[in-house]
Amino acid sequence: MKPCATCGIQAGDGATRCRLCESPLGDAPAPAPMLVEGRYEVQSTLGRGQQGMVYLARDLGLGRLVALKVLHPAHAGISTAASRLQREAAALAAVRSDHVAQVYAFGAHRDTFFLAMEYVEGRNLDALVAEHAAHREFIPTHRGLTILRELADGLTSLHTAGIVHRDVKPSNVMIEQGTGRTVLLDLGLARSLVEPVDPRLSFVGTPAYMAPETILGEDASQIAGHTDVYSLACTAFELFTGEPPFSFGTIPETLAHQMWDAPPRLSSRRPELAFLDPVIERALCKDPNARYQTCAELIAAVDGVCAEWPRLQWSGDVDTLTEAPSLRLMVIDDDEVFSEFAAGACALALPGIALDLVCASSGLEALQSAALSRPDVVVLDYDMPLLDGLATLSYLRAMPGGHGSQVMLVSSNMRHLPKWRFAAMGVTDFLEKPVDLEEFADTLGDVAGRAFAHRSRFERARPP
Amino acid sequence: MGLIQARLESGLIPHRWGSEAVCSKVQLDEARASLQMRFLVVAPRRLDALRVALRTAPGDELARRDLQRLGHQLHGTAATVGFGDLGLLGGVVERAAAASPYGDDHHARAAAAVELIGEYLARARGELSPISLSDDPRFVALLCAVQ
Repeated sequence: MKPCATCGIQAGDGATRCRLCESPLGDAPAPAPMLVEGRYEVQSTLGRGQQGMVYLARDLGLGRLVALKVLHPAHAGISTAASRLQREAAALAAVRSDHVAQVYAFGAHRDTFFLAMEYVEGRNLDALVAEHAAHREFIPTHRGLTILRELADGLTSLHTAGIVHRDVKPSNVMIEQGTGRTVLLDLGLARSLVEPVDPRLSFVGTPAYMAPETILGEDASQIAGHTDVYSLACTAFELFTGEPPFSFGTIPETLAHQMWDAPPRLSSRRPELAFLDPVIERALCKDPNARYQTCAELIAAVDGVCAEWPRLQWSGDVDTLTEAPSLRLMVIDDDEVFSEFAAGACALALPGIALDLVCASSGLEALQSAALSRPDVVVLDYDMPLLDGLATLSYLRAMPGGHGSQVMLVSSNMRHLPKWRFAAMGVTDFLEKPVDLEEFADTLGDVAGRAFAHRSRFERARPP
Repeated sequence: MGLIQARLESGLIPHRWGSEAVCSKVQLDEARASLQMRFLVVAPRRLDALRVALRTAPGDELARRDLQRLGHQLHGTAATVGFGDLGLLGGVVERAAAASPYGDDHHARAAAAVELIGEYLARARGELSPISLSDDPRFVALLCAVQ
């Protein structure tokens, strides 16, 4: 039984046409791209699960890419699968957050259902954690704290909308390419806090991140925001140490550890993070009522113990920032001649564009300026005294709206540059000094184009 | 340097990115010439800074680091604006000053590179354009030494 060449759905034995896209099966010539509801043209497969497929598709009406979840036709008649997809759509539609994937549409296609949602291009957090582990390193603590804050922000939006995610884990977290924005994905297991719960369905989630009350399943009313707090703490534990608190043995063993065993202290694996021990310990309490009840409480506790971290406070006016009509471009380089070069390239790359150009000669100077007005595009030097490019970007990303900046990294030490570290901050554009002016201008044009698209997406742009 | 603020006003919005050249060859050539000129204007100040750092680098850790940083800057920027050989000399200074311990041979190499940087700049400022050092045996020897 071969899958359909167009949509990837497994065909039934003896079928001559696909049930989902009606393409001929077998050795027929390549069929036309699948079109869902007359407007979503499937381009490729992003993933496949037991119950369906996730495609990358283009919304022909609005000209943007979307992630299209389509239930396998065999599951479409099963009420739990269809209602779960519909529940995911309804849950997401009620939420407004930069850190939760947006839903665009839910509907029927042939004899099944689909969900069109925001396509977030980037890397999963679990892949980034693994990549750091492969280099015997951790995601830098400051950056990890920002990711944690953004996740908590997304979860708070969900909880405010009356929804529990129930499957918070690193593989459901995406770090967006270009911006470094943290986005929570996959609300397939989400449920409303007010709708009655079928006890048979309360045992859901991923063992290494499941809260004890989810495992017990005795009292489904116990599943609330504090359930996600527990999973968020497991995710944070993995973010900082490379592994969740309980990740060994079989599934039953892991579940038993979640139920009965005290979690290891964060400092047992990262002694320098001992100041976070009490926060993670409380968030991982077996008794849900002893935990932080909300993600906002958890983050307030994190902020409390991180007082010694140099955190930059937002001192600008968000409304003023978001209404800015021009593209704000910041060049951060301790070499004034290179800054002039970059400024010249900006004028060449973006002719006729209203630009606010800021050149900063150090990371600190850049952050002081960014605190007043967040840049859309950053040209960042890696090798700088005191605060290098990595630390500067980590602080920038931690600022409100800091995940909106598109970053282009420039270094004369590219061979020794730890690009994988920058991946955790969404950076994908690297240029090596000496850099040709035309190449620089070309790359800057691409990056600025993405910045415009980002601003449009979040309705921050106001075309002149 | 401080914050440099510039505001370029226009009423247009970009309609295409990346797929076509963003500017003409004439514009690029003009921009390169302008950048080279600006580089030649600030270069003597950099040479002075290099000489000051070089003088005290052997016994002064901060000066050695400064020398390394100044070499690093020259390495990246000079070549970026078109002074390729000058950028290579900056790289020689950077690597020599990065050596730990910073011995006499490293210092001698850095000093030879700084001297050649001075000569290069004097000639380039006279000709108002980049020059080639590929026929200069001292330049070739310095590059071979750091290979």
